[in-house]
Amino acid sequence: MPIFDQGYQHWKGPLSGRVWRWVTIARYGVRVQRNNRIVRLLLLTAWLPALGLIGAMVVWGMLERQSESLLAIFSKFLPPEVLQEPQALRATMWTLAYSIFFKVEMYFIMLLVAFAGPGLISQDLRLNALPLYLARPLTRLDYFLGKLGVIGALVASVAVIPAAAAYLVGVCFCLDLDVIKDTYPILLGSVAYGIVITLSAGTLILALSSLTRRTLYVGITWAGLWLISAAVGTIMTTIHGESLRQEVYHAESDRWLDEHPPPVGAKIKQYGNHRHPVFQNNPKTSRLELAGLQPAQQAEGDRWVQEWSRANGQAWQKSRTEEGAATRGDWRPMCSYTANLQRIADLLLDTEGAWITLGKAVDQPQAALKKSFRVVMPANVVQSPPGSERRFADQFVLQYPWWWSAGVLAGLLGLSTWILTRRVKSLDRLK
Amino acid sequence: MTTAPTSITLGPIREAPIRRGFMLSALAALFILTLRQNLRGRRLLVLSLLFLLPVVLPGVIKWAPDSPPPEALEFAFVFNLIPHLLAPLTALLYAAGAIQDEVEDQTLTYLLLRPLPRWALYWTRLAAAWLTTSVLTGLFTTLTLVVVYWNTPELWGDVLPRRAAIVVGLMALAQVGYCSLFGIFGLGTRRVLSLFGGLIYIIVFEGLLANFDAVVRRLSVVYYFRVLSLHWLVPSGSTKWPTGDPGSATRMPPWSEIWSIDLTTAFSAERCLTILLAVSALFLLIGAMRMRSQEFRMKTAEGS
Amino acid sequence: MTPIIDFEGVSKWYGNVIGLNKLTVRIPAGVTGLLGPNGAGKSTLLQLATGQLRPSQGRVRVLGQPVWNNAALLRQVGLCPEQDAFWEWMTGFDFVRTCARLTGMGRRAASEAAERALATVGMTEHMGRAIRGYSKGMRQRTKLAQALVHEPRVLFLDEPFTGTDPLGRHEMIEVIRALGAAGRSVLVSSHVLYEVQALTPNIILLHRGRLVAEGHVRQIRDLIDAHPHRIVLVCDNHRALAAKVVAWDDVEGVKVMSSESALLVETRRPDAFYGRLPILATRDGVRIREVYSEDDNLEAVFKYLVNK
Repeated sequence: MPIFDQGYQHWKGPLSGRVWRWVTIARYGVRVQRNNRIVRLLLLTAWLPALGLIGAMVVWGMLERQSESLLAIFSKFLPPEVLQEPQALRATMWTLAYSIFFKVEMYFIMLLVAFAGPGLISQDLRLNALPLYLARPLTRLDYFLGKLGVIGALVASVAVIPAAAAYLVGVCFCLDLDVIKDTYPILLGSVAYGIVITLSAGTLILALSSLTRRTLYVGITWAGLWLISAAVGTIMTTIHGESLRQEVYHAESDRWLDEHPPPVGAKIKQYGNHRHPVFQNNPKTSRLELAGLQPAQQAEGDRWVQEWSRANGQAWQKSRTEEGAATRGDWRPMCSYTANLQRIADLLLDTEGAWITLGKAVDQPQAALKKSFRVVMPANVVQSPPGSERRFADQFVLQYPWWWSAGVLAGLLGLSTWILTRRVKSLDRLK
Repeated sequence: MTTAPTSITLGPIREAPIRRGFMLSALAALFILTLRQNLRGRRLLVLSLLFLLPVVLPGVIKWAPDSPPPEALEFAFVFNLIPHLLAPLTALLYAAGAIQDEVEDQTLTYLLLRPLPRWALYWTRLAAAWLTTSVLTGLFTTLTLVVVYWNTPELWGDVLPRRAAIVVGLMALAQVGYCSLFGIFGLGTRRVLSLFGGLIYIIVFEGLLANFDAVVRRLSVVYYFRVLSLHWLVPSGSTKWPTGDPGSATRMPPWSEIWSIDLTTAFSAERCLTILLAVSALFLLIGAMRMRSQEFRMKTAEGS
Repeated sequence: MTPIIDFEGVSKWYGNVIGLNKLTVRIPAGVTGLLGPNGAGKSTLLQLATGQLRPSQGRVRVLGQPVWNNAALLRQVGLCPEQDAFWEWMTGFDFVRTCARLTGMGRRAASEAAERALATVGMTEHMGRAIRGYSKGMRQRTKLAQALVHEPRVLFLDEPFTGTDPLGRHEMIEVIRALGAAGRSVLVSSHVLYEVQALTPNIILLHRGRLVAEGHVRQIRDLIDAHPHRIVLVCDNHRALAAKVVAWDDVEGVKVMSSESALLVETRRPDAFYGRLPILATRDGVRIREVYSEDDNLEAVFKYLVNK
């Protein structure tokens, strides 16, 4: 009679490969998130911008087919030569649509990370679950990869998958397969951007999550980093741009005042280190006149005011241009975490190139078009001279070198990795 | 090894040695306990680091050659960054955590077991949270003002004695609103919900809607902070930056213009105060009622 | 006598899960054991009795007063909770003193009370160290001290022996006995039967949120006489004895335990069986060396009751 061992049985079946063990952790993490109502709600809402993206691709596809109704609408914004051959601008328009889509999606990604990310490690620390993982044939790297996989899945589901789906729809709505040759960099860029976000935001939230057992704190710290860094970036950029502009403006107008003194007796007031003529309203003519002039000097005064106004306008224009030029070396937007990601997106999708192409294609600045993109305008609005092909690029794309942002993100990645390796250790964190 | 009990023959039952007015004494103990909890740990460190931003950044900007006047820095950091973001985030951290931290740590039992009415327990914890957040915001606001006005005659003449006191008072007032609201968020059984509710409120109401010239902005604490600032701190900065030159396109509009608040039609200071305090009192009441009826399950480690 | 703890038709639901199911029980003064397997509803009962939870149905009274939202009553009540949670950064003394202060004691009174309570549980030596460095046993003692510090009339101890070593357990049992002797009422929950048995013969058995039995162990045993009583007879010629007892009407079954030279007899009428034993020994010359009932320990009682 055979006697069977009733004790502990060793597993004798095959084990999955070493490389794929982290997938189990990621899969479990994703399942937990899927059961979270808020995450589900956010995921659903996050798909709405994707519908917009798909809509944009479909509209451009129809335009390529010379759809009458669409041509009628777009003839108000776009010059006829563009409408005659929309294919030439296909890659450009797709790039711009993707760039806007990712800008909007960034808010959802940040929110999703704020709700799904904080518990990833802090809960394991709190419930002493870490030894349960590390008692298996799993290394710390597998553990990190598994947790990162959860963030990756979320980023993929709100950004990369909709982007790829929209790409497919766009291809289907085009007339020829050449479209793939034209536009495959966009798809590659989207996937690469998804990976950059996952790596950067994922390791950062994991590092924060490993710092405390309290999930609430991690969530608030993450939101703080995101919102406060964005606010600081905006404040610093605005203040810097504004003061630079004023400096140029004041210098220019003071120089003009030195070279063209007003008629004798006209009042000039000193404001700080800057001088400004004093005007008064003439009730008879309802016009602004120089204060302090004799009636006989009025004609001379009016001439001077006209010249002054022209010079003042030029000084203002010059201050705007110089402000714009200065943004190419302005590091201040980098204070914002999301601006750094945005800069990498601009690089990967070549957004700047697309805006320049559009600038070339649309000769005259189209107020309507400009207005329609104002929603996504960055804080540092740069005014280029009208007619310049860079006028859109300067306005909508961050100007400083991309590798500055890459450096910031790499630094954060290094810091996060260091924190993670320091904080997540095998068994010594048992309470 | 633990020592053996020295004496396990206990005397007869004594009435617990509790004085008259025990409740005040117990609440004072609870208040001190909460302050001790608030002032330790990484939370304070992280917050101090965040609060150092408005202190350090103006310094960095001032040090640069083309630095803007102090009034512009004051407006950006003291009247925007701190009340819009830092103050509510701090309040969310401490007020929502007032009860929830104890639930997460499973130590709320030790508080609920004491002969203290639940509403008193809740209010005392919130009061400690308010004191902590007000001191934090006040301290760092003052530091920011000092850095911003460093090396100017206004620093000792007007800023430190008067302006700083009013701003710190305003911040403390804003924290009354924030703490009473976020305290309710922290009474939910699910921390994700309180985080979600708090963040959405901060982003949508305090960040976005507060800027629209519509009735809805009266639902934000920042609106009252702004109106009171306009009433009490007649914005000297508005005429000074850049230089108030009337015809220039570079003129920075006065605060009331940026905030689109017209003082002639806005609430009076007394009305602002009354509304802010009355709504806070209402929130405190709702929180207390919620606390009275709420059950906290401590047995399972994870509440959500 | 008015009961110290009075549950009347109390149910408690957690969503779809039922914690207590129409429980009616009156617990008199003294030390009482609350027994049941994990998930039986012991912690729910204790949390209801200390006002941590509100009954979904029914009425809970302690010392004749309703419990929920009755802050004043809590002066007379102490609880040693099950969860192993503290303000870890405090020292043991600081923790217990803070608990005393929260009860409303003045500074000096609280310090003295904390020292007394910590001495009672044998923690004087370690009370100056931070709790986060305590062993499991020390943590349990500190938790007990916190429940004692304001000298409550009624004490609820939720699984107080968890994680204690045998010596520590013995000492803690001594403390609880002393509390009972000093006139305090103590309700101790546990799922380990012999711990409770060592403390008190008064027990309450819970299973799946329902009251299975309450009273003295012996009384409970009487209640379940419908079930066969298992008696072990040790004698030299146990097989001959087996042949005799198997003929008796009230014997349900006989099992020969050869290795111990003993018989295990199952009967539904233990009194009649015990009555006949002397006759058996004197008349038939059977030399019975030892008689004992397997059912005198709680384990057996519990097994019977929950398998009913």
